[in-house]
Amino acid sequence: MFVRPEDIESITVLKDASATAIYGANAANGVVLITTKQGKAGKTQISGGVSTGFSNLINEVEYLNTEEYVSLARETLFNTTGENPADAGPLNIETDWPALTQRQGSVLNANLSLRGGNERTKYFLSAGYYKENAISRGNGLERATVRSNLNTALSDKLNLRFGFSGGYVRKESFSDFGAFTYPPNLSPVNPDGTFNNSGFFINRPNPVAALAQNEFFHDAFNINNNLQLNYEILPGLEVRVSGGMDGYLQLQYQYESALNGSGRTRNGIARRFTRGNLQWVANGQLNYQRTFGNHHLNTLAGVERNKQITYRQRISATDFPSDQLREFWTVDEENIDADESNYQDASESFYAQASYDYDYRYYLTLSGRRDASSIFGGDVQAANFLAAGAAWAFTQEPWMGRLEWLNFGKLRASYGLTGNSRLGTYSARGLYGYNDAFLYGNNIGIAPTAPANEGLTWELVRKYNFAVDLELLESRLRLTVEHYRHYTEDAIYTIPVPLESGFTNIVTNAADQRNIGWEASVETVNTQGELRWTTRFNMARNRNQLTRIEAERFPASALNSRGLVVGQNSSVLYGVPFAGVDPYNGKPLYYLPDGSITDDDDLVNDPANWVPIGQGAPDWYGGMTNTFAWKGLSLAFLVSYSYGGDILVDGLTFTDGRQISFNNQSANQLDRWQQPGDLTDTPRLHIDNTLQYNSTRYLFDNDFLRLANLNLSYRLPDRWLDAMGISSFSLTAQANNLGYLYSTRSRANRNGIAEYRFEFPEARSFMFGLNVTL
Amino acid sequence: MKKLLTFTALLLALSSCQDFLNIEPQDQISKDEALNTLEGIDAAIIGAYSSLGASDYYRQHFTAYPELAGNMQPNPAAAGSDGVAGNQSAILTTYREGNFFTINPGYENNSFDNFYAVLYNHLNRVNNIIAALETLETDQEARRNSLRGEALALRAIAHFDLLRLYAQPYLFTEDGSHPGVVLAERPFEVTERPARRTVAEGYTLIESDLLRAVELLGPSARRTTDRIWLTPLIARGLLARAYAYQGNWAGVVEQTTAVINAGQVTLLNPDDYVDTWAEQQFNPEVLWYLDLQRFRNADAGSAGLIASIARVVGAPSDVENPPFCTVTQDLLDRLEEGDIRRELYQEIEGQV
Repeated sequence: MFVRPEDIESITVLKDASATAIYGANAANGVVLITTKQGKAGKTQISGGVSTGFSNLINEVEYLNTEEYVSLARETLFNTTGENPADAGPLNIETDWPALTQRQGSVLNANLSLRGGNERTKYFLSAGYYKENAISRGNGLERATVRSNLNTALSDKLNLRFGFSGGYVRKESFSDFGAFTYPPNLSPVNPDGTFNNSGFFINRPNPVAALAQNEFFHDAFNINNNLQLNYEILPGLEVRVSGGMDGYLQLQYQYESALNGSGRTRNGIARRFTRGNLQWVANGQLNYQRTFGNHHLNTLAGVERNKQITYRQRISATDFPSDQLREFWTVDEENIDADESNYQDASESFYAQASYDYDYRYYLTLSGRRDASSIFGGDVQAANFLAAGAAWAFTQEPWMGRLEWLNFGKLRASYGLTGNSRLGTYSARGLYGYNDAFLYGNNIGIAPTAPANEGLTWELVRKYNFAVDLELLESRLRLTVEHYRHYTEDAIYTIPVPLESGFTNIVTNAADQRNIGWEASVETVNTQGELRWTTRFNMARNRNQLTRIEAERFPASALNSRGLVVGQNSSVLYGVPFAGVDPYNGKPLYYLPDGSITDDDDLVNDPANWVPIGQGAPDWYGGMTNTFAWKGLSLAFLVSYSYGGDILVDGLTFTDGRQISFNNQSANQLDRWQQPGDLTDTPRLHIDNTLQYNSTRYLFDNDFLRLANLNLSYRLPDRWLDAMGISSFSLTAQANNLGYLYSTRSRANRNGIAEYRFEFPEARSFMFGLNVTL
Repeated sequence: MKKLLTFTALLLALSSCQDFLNIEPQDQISKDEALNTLEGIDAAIIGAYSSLGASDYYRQHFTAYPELAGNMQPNPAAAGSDGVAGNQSAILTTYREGNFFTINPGYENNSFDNFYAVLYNHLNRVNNIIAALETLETDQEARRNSLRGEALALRAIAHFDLLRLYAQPYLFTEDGSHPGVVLAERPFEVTERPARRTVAEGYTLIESDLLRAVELLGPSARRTTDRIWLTPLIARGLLARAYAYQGNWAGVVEQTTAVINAGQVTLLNPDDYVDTWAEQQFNPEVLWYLDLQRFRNADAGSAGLIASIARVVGAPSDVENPPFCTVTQDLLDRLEEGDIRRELYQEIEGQV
């Protein structure tokens, strides 16, 4: 379902267990409630807005230019073979692959809405259009949506609500085949102007040719309907019946042309993928609200059913007689391959909640839910979720009196049991599947696709939350501090198993872990009056600890540096500390746990020699927003930060010669060791250099300040608006992701954490818009 | 309106809960259900045959690996004619490592380390079948036995290949008591850690599996007339090969004599030798073909096209890609002038 930001009335995030329990199995990690706009009684409001903007990449990796590339490639070949290399490619071609496959991104967004009604009937209608040309050429999104709802009182006691929304999306998703690391001395075109599709480009397609000759897009359609009836049986007792239906159809088409490397060996490949999804939900709920003196009671109970049906179809065809006619009917039948699959699931839930407070001082909430789902199969039929929460608004106590400095204070605590249903269908029983890989002698075979694992069960999370809310100094200072302790039992992990079992890994309840953390947020009104300056600051810390794990310390792949160690944070990264480059022979050196230094790759690759070298999760993170409002002008900026985390970056572009023959390399490779006595951190180039990703050489501190958002808006003064007869007019300029300040800076013309952090560089975008309400 | 509400509430309450939540998965079935009929087990046998054709097994790597140790070498022309070696395809990287003996298992995009996973995956398929056949209730005893024979032969093949890959040869110690491989005589629990057994124990299991296969394999194992399905004679052929690795020459003679006397294979006329490859003619010397037909037109890039490894006669002539490998001079030098086998190799741009 597509929900446009303009159609959203409010977003509420529910985190503690007492709030999320009635949302059941799908809410184990919290709930985000999105309330869309509804009609309003009163004068009809017509709102419209247009915004447009552009985006560019920031912190791009600096690559070698042709001269540097050829020189380093020759050096690598010389170091490897000992002979003077005949040729490392032409020197007179300088191709900027990123520039050929990227562009300035652009966005256009327009929306129009109508809102109004009277006491009995209210309505809301909106339509939106969005178009984005992504920075990667051949990628983009175009979307048109409509949404409407109607709320009408059929009688004094009966209320009807009807909603409809729908949309169309076209998405283009061209792959550039990782072209930004293509060698710079290859030309995308031949001297005669045709695309260069020989040599290198036979196996790695020429992205410029593919952009012109291939196709890859999908169209998606979505329709959503919902209907709700509310009936007041008695004062305070209400029954609600609602139902909704959601239809989704996606049509994807991909063509890899015979004219370039992507479709050459198969003389053109077309793939068509269709996915249809239909989902319905029916819900019945009773609400009872009552006030007896100072006692306030609010209860509800309900039942919900949900079913979804998905159908997928895939057709592929090869050997096209003409590259112009990309239709399936042009292809011989034997070159067409088709496949389809069906999927259904259904779930049923019962839930109830009771909230009570005495004189707005003492609060108590109890909630529970039972979920049963077809996908639990024979494994676990249903799961129960229970939660309780209590709060005490101590400033409301008569004995507290009225305090000058403290306007409001509340203590909250909650406890809940939640689960997680991330289990596949029948995954405990062992599965056999049909697959075209199991064909032999024109007979269709079956083979095991998942091992039997009788004990597989839901994971259970016990959540304890404690919080204090304070409002001080005439509510100019608001403070919330929360402490949570989440204990996960039987956490579902995919763990590697001995290969002799016939499987490489299983999904199992392999671990217990806990997450204990603090979250604090402070909102201050720094100045009031003509200039209003407010600050919102938040800070969070989470400590994760594995308390049980049934897996080897290091999973099978040596590339995986995450260790699973009891008593440790699961984001700890393991590896060997890099000890620099031997000035005598240019070999990389590493520290072993006993303190000795080695250049032996086998020792370095042995997990027995790995020690903790960092941790992925930060110690502290959060953000700060400052907002300044002066007359109609408003300026807000958000700075986010993270401290204490580390990141192992992708070493693809600094492989010390290993991949230089087919991937351009980082400019940092220019600092390589060349002769005895060279003091550098970059080893001697050699085509057989092994890569030791799990070392501090590829580890960077991920401490940063990020200017995440800057927003400037101007609202025309009311007296002007009155003169024009409109109720609101505003202009907005916005910048996202303006930049980063890292704790370690990259050297000039070299790459560091800023450049290496993202495999595909991040974008910085600017948006300008205007909004009018009549 | 009240009636409508009551009606809806009743509808929700009445429709049976059990039926509503009872949905069978559409494209997968539970193991018990899959293997509770002879038809299901037959399909599982097809699944086990198909793993012989995995790219990490007979389709590509298992056959290329020993060749790369001497008879083949990576083709520099496949690296691209623009000068700089330009083929990042995992295949070439793998072959280079195979040729230079720089394979480092579990490291980067190395494909050779998948033998172990593929072979034990195959053994799991086979052992599930053998276990299910034990308890299956059927009156078709002959068919059950034949399926059992097929499964046992398929198990022996995998153990034999595992021993060749991961253990010293049988004659490394006098009695074969040196470490061999884990023997999968039954389906393992998924987290079980079975111990390595000796090479002698491995060959004992192979021998007994194949001897039983010779007994059990029946005509119902032949689903089509192609020579791609296991027969008692094929099991004897496999047994003869295992005996040869053990130096049990009497056993080799016994089994091969039985194969020859059965009269199903005859020697190939030397004049037809090249044509059996070039025209893909039937070769009367061959007892058993693996069915890899469906990979013939597959994408070279996806490690499918056999002809893209090295160009032998019979490879489709319209393939434009340079083959990934060429024949080494060492191998050519061993073939004397006039040796018919020389005619198998094509010369492309000066490279054989």
